[in-house]
Amino acid sequence: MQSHESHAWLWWIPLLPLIGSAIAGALHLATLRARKNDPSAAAPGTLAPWIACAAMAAAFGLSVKGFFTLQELAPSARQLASTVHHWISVNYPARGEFAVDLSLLLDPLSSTMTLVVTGVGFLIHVYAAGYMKGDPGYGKFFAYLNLFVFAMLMLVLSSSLLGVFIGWEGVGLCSFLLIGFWYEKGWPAEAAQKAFVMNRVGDACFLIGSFLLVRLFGTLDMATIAGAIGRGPVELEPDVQLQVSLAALFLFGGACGKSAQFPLFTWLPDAMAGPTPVSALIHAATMVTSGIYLIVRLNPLFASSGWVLPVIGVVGALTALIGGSTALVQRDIKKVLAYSTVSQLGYMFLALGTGAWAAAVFHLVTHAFFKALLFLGAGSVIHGMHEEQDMHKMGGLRKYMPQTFVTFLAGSAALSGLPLMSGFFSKDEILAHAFAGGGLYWGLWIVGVLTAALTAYYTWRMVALTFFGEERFDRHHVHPHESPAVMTVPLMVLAVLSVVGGVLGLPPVLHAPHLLAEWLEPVTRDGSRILAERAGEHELSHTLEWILLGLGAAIALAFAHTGFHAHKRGTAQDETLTARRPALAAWLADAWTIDTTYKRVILLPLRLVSFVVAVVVDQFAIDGTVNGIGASARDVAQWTRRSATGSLAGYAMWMGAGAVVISLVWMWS
Amino acid sequence: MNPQDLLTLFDAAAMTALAPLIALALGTLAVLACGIIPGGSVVRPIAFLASLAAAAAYCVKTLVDGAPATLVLDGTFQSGPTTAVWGLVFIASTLFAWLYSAHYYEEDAPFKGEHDVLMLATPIGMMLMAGAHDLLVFFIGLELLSIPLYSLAAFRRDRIRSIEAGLKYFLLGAFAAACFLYGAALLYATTGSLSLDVFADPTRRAVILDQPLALVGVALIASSVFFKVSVFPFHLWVPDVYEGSPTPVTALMETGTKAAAFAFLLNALAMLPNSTAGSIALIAVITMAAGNFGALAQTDVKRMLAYSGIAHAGTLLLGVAGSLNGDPARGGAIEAALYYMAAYVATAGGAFGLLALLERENKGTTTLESLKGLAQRRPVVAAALTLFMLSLGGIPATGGFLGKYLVFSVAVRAELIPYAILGVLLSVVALGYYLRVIIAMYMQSPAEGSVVPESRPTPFATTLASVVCAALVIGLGILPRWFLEVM
Amino acid sequence: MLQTYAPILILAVLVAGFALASLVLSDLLGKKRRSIGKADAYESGMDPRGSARLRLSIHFYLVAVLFILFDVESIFLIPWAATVRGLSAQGLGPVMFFEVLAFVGVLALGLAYVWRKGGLEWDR
Repeated sequence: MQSHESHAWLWWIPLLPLIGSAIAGALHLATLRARKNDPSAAAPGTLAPWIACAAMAAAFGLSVKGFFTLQELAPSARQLASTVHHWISVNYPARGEFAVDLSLLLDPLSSTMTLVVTGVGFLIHVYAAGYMKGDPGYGKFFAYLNLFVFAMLMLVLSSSLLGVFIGWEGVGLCSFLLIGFWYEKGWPAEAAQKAFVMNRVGDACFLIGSFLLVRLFGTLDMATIAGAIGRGPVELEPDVQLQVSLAALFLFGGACGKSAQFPLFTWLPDAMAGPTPVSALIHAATMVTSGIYLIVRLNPLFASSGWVLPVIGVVGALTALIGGSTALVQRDIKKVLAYSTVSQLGYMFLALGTGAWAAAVFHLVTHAFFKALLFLGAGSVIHGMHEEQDMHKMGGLRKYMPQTFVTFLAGSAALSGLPLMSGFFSKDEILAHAFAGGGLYWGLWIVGVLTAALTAYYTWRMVALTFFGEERFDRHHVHPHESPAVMTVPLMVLAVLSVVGGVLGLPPVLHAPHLLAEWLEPVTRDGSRILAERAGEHELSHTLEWILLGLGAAIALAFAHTGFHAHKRGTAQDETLTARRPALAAWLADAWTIDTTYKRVILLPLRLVSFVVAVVVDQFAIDGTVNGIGASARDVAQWTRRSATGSLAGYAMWMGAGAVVISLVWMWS
Repeated sequence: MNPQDLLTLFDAAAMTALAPLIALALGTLAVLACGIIPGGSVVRPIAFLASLAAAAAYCVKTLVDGAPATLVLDGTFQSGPTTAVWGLVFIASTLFAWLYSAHYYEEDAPFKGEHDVLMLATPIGMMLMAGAHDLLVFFIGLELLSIPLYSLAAFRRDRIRSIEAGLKYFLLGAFAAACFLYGAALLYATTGSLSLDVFADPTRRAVILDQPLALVGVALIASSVFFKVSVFPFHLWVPDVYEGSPTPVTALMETGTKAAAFAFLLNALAMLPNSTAGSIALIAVITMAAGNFGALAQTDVKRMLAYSGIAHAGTLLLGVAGSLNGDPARGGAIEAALYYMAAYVATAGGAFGLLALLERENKGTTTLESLKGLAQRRPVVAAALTLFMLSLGGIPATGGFLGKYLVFSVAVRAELIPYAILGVLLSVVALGYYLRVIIAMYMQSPAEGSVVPESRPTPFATTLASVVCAALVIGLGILPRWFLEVM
Repeated sequence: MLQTYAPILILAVLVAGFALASLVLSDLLGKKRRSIGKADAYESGMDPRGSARLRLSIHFYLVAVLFILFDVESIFLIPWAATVRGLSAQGLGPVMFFEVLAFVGVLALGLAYVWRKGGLEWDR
């Protein structure tokens, strides 16, 4: 890494949300104190969203400044760094110094991530100000949300894997706190726990991976690691190759946990127990994409890891298929979106598996736009329907909430990949790369196309069930209403982004520049070069690309149409499926029974063992012993207490006897 | 002796050794005079503090001068750094008790003047006891300490428990004094001297300790000291007396008296035959058991602390046994005991002081029940009490831990390992009731319908004493080297 | 050697004889009027029957304690008085003077205290 002047202002990007979090938290505590005595007292917590949104806006502003500062530099010099502290420094006589600095790095990749996190994050914060109004934990919510953003920004801005890990754990913690935000209800607390535990599996992999990297490179600085591999020989020594592959595999394991990939994805649908803005921010737009970020950040490592890339591709494709097929039959609108997120994240990993780094980031960005939009739209629906999430109890909402409806349509179009929408371009790029990969990747391409069809189908099923058809809710009790402007304005902004976001990465056949790929080129250059030298360049002819684009558009349109019309009239189609093929419906609804299998294979034996330990070993053997000792101590205590009778003569007698006994003993000893 | 030589007894070294005592004695007279001169009640605290400060200054001066330990006044009194540190411990003990008593009697005791006179007389007795190299000097010290304490124990004349405490303490104390005198008489009968010098020469010591009569005398003297430090089976008075006495007085008895008696015991170690180490260690362990198990059954916190004090006496006695069994250099027993008592003065002084504060608020005894929810009502008091409980329990980073550690290590070095193990196990039992106090304060809320006493502003004297105690507890816990070097 | 103790023996015999003689003579010579009161055991003026737990005024004890206090302290003056002449002759006069001054001073302070506090007034 070249030497740079220090850009200490970078620290303000994560610090502003942290400060916001602290203030919001303090306001919440002030509210609690004020409410303790007087429940109707003015709540300082109502100021929290102002603080939080201001912090987000300022952080976004700084991110934009970072973007323009980078842009003014030559492409290869686009790096801004700031080191404030030489954090850890250990000198190993044999291996040299191992040091970790507390430093931030802004380059095209982290700049992109920062813009998404702060930009989309800001919109979601604004939305949440309306959505969470009246909640007793209003201030607390924004404290957590801002804290999350701080952790996420540390994750994407840190220059070392240790810094990333701190952010990684921080977002995990905030995710836990926010999923369980309504812990009084019970199941959100369980969902939070599940998310946390499953993430820990991934985190352990992350740690092992980074240990292996320290062993290999003696550092945790990601730029140094990526540079070392990027500059090194393409073909590695066999044992080095093995270690590189293992490190990559373990890091990918970490990514699987955080980004909800097979087999660790089951926490994400449960995570929908959190408030909807949380689902939008954490479980769609930002946190779940950190696995993709990590792999792109270390792309030379993964490029030279050999067999790990196909593994990533297969896992991604499989996850995409599982998520997409499961979303087909869900009745809970948030569950549909959750499985859809799992599926789309699978697409991104499929892209990474083909070495299409920029395509993965492209899909990450567009997905952040449209999935945040869809979640927020769903939240608006839920809000308007008095906390109803079952689509079978909705229908015909388009005339009640027109703004939500229109924006939701934009998001759905983008998700299902209707032509010229943002999702169309990003998904198509991934599929094109898979098609070009040949061999195994053809199989993945087929899975991708199939998933695209499923995506179009379930997306429009959701639109049809929610906004069209007869009104299936109890009109006497439920009065659907449009959400306030504070919620709909962010929807509109996101809708515009979802529609036009495709311009960031237009396909080559249109003879327009792929803006994002060019922007990211300094970061992805080494990885792409290694891949090209190892496996050769794959170029698709223009004709073939046109065909693929057309095929994508045709599939999206056809299945969107089918899905929409099959469900436009109501729930009949779902009921038919359940009636005719109950086993298939149940299997799909249960996400290929993976979660159930976990329960049976892992959870039950674990519970049995813990029961044995807790009841048999602990309660009987250990507690029995301890309680026995405790009880006898109490008995002795009672006896001792009784010896203090209060009788003066008794005391004197004891003293006299004591003196006599001591005299006698000493005389004879 | 030539009458002219009487004057030479009061040489510079003797005056240095006596200076703190004289300062305190003059202070006592001044405080007494304050009772009959106009405006005396204003001057009284100043006289009290000035006298303590002067005594402390003389002790510090002895430390700074670094003169070696010598015998003065015809070999009846010890002067030197150890005596000076003990003196500081006694002064601190008196100071804490006095500060905590400043507002304890507020409403119902018009005799604060007498109280202060009596209280200021006690450290004179303690210093005499700690420095005594002669049984008669020790006895004068003992009585100078005990007689004021008898009166102080009964000082709340409106409370039957206080009068009972005073009477019991007086009668049993008289019994112990008689024991001592009888023992001293027997020793005099065999050795023809009351000086501890007779034990200095190993050959002569062996001859003396071979005689049954001398052994009985030593045993009787030890018994009376055991009474003062409340060791099994001479401990039974402790719960009644400590509970009934005014709480600041309890603090003084628990810290100062105990320290003085232990100081003498360590000075007079040569008096005890080495073969007694085992039986003393046994007594120590039984004492710890009696104290800890007794405390476990209590719900009254003051009574619980009284039993805890018995257990602490047992712990220190184990150190004494260790130094009897150990090498001639005594294996650092005196340092360990000094450290232990220094920490204990701050810890127990602070704990009893806070009890005094709470008692005033509760208008009655402090039970575990009345402590419930204290952390919400008085967070700072609860935090300080927690600190003192942790130190009493011997949790690391508190003075109590290091004291315990030093004492047990003396015992271990002296190969009293089984006793040390038993002692450590019994300390674990002790944690049970110390933690119960903390649990009551932090994790339990007052029972429905119980009257929550209104919090009054904490008196300045109490705050000052508690802050100093807490600082000492923490300081002794984390800066042990500093304190050990001073010693 | 025993002869040195002879005067003591004579004194003892005389004392015993006098006591015995008074008792015998009064019994022989005196009038005898028997009454219940006279037949009772003599208990220094106290009623020998009934509860022994009589309540006496605290003043009795106060005065008794004060008396003993100053009485016993004054005993210490006797050895001083016995030696002051001889020691003064050896040049210890000033020491002896200040020593007793301190002693009496402390006693005086105590007396002043008791006086000022009203300890000497019977009825207060």
